[in-house]
Amino acid sequence: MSESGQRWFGVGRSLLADPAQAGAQACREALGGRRAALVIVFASPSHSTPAMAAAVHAAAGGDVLMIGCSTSGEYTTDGRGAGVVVNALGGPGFSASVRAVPHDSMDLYAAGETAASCLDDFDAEHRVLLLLGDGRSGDQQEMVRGAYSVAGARVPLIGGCAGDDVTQTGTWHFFSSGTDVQVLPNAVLGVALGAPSPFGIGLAHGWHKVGEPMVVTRSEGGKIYELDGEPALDVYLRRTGGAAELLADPGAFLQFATVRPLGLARRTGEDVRIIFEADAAERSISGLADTPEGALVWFMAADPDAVVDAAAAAGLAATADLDGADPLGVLVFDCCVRPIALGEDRAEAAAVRLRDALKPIPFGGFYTNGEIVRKTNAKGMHHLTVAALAVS
Amino acid sequence: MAGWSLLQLTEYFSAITRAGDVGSAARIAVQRASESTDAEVAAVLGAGAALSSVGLGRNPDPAVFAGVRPGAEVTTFPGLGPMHLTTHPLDRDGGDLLIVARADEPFAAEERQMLQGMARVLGLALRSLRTLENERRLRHEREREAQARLELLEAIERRERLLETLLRVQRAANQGTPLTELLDAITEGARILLGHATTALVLRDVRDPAKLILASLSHGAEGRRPPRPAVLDAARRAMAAKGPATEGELAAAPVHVGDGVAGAFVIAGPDGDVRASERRDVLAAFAEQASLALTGAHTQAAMHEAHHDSLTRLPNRALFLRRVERVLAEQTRPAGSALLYLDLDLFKRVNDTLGHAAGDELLRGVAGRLRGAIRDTDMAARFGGDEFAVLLDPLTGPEQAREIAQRVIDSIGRPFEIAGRAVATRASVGIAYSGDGRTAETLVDDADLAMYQAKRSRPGTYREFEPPMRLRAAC
Repeated sequence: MSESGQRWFGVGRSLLADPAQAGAQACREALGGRRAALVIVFASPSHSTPAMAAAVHAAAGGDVLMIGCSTSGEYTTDGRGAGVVVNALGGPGFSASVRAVPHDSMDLYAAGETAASCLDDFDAEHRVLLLLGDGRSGDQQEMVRGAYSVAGARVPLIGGCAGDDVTQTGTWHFFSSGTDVQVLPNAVLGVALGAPSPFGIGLAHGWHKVGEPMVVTRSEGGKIYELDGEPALDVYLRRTGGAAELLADPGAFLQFATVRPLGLARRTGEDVRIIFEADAAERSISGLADTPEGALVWFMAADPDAVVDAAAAAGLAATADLDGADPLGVLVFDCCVRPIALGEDRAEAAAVRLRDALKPIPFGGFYTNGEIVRKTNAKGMHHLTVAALAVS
Repeated sequence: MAGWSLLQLTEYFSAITRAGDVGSAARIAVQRASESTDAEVAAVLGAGAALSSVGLGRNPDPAVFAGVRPGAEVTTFPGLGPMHLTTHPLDRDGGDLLIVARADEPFAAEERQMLQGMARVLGLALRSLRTLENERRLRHEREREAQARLELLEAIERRERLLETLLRVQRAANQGTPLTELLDAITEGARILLGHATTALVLRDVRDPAKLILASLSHGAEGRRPPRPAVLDAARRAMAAKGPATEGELAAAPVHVGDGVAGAFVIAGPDGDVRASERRDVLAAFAEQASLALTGAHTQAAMHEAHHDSLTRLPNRALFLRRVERVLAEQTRPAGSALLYLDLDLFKRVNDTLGHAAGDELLRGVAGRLRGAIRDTDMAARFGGDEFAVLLDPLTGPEQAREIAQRVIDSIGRPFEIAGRAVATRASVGIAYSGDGRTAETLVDDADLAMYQAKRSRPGTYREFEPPMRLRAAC
């Protein structure tokens, strides 16, 4: 745990089997006896229970702001695991304010506006809006748009979408605006953070484009029907070398396709689009996010070493973005498809490299269903990417 | 990367067309405009206030826009420092503006053109939505007679048809419709909207920019056809004025490719029951649409051009070598891929006896046969002159490379019919395999050496590269 003046950032982790015990243990470790301004909880689905949320809140002394969400796995300097990770920050100078928007209470754009309205509560020299969305409930880009319409270009947006261990069953958010504790399914949470010292944001993915570009000649939302005027599925299988037998088994196709994404051209780089489904009858492929008609796309390939390094690269970029201030701690939002694409050993290596790169700065990260960064040159929702927020 | 942004207009068009009120149409416009240009700030300004904005927080003080003047290229917003600015009027008459600002880079000509297209479509949509809102109010107040309402409804209907036509044309542009058909769709679309008028697209002749040609023409009612010189004159006036020009029944607006004036869109004929303001809208919208289609075709062609041989449409040497390098970098076993180097025998004779045009036709024919003889995963390229190369990847082993090389030789060996004559040529082929330490350049050199040996010993056959060939070449 680091201290800078009187501001601090602490991380605790517990892999205890009992969710409530794990929550309390992780929270005590993160706080080290201090009083937190904000507690941020990342919990695996096995530990995402009301008892866990209540135990974390109580261990933080009650009457504390708390946000958090379920994950597809977490990690800290102690390594990767499936349990509870608690991040806490406090000390004079930090300000925080929170909002929760329950699932289906309004459209996603309005949900983003409401989540961002916590920025109205205070002003500070440096501010950032941390968002915990839900990658399963529709187009999260709409949520980010709504949040940006309130935050504006002066306040960067950062965060990730809650995970469910890649089971596509449902996600949970943990929330307290003081004394109450809520566990909300598929919600959107926003927290405005303020400090006299800067916040830093980093983003990295490590994929590169291959071959010649193609034009999306017909698409609707996330579904791509045609590339360069040809059925998209035919082009996809030919260019990736995928066998036609893959189509008979959606699970096998998912496994094959998640590591063979498309890159959507942007002025300053590419947005990675994960392909997760194919329709053999209409020869279409489906991506996790919108791929507009007329867009230029490439096939993306992984340079395994660069993809492993993306976590460390994002962490370092976040700490380098602090205008020279000393980092106290880092929050990491790491795409849940990355460990699948990388395999167990390389996913482990990614966490180790992040630890070695940031040493001795503490960090808490989780595997997300979509990463959020909205600042200059970053549009909003990202995939197969690592986003990081450094606090100073 | 340019080009993509123009094509994305389709999605924007359909989103704007679906918008139900002025506020949501303006919101869609500022979001798409800022996202498609990676800009921090965008706003639609009208009568001193923002109809919608992003990047400056919720309901920014109208005073922050006080410094924004049409045509200004820089501005400063509170807390954001100096930014590059681009401003686009929504229509000719009103003072409404679409403005977009970003910190890191000025806006490129193509981005500005796309934003102008977005602004124009928003302008049309807003007019239609405002008319609709007006009509609703009037109906409530029951202050207007039936005839006036009918006129308004007809105007709305025509404007909706205008948006639909624009959307259809834009969609066709995305789906790779040939440019000439696209231009015809634009003149035809405008003519149908205007009823009786004739519409035309006049462009500079590429070979002689001083000359104007009628690139597309859609005739209105019989007996109302304007003489051709009058149409060209109208175009010339708009091009010289760099803005709309009207004289009698002829109205024209300039058409651009990038920053330059490339021609003009002309409407000729009586107004009929179409109001003058609508006629101006149609003129401006279709002139812009033609500009977008031409610029889009131009950038796509330029992109293809940069990587392909203009005669045969095959990838050029640079693109080919990049692909070979990539394949070599991913290679895990020796001879996992191979490179064929081809040289045509007797080509010079064809060129000398039948002329360059026949020579060019032969090269195109060879390129076609070559494409047909290799697999989908292989890549053929023209290196210039009568030299071609093929990357074979993946490869099960040398046997497969020999088989494909023979197939290439056989298919090129069949006579070509050129200018009514049977012309024979044949290819000598060198083969080199990927392996330790091979770079794209050395692989090409090796295959070239092997080709040279084939040509010298038995033309019209293939030879595989062997290291001693290098020595022989050096001696």
